[in-house]
Amino acid sequence: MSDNVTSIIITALTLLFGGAAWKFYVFLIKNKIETKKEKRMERTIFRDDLIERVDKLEKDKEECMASLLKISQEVSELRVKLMFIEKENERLRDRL
Amino acid sequence: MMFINNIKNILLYYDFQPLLLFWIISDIFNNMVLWTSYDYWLELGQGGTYFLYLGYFIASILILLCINNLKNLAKCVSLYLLIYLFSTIRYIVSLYNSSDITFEMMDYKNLFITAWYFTMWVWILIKLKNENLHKKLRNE
Repeated sequence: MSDNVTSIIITALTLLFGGAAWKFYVFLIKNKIETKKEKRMERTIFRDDLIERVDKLEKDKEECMASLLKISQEVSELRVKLMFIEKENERLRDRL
Repeated sequence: MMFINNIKNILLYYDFQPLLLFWIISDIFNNMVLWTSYDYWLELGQGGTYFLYLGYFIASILILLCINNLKNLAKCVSLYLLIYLFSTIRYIVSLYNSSDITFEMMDYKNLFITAWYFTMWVWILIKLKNENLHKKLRNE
């Protein structure tokens, strides 16, 4: 066997082992990242739940504020109306 | 201990691209294809060596052209490393098969330097591929 053929065979074998070693390394790194992700998920589940609840409560609060504003407006209107009615009532009573 | 730790940090975290840029430009100018012809190598009875240098030359030019594109750069460095691996193995095989096998100091020095450069190219390739891998995983 000539030197070149031997060299080609050894090179191919080295490449094969190198490629396999790289694939194994990629597998290890992917596993490590997956484990990290899972751990982070566990830690963030409670926090995500809290964020969701706060969001919901914020939305409810805005709705309550809007309805409170509406009610206050109506109360003010009624108060003015009542004031006029009372005055009218007094005026009618005086006439009688 | 601190010295070794600093070297470890350099190897792990420092950027390799300036080194690669200077190295590859010197490699292009040092390439024998620029300074000799095919006939010169034929006269020496090493016609194949000229093509080996031509392979190095093409790979070096490709590395220089792709220095800003990490994905293609990894492929070009792989090509360079493949040629380097082949020529190193060919050198070792020819040494092993030669009838008058007498290892002199210069042979050991040449083998050591070749192994050292090989380690450097492997380190560059691993850093490149690692960077590409982490980018890919971050995007997934």
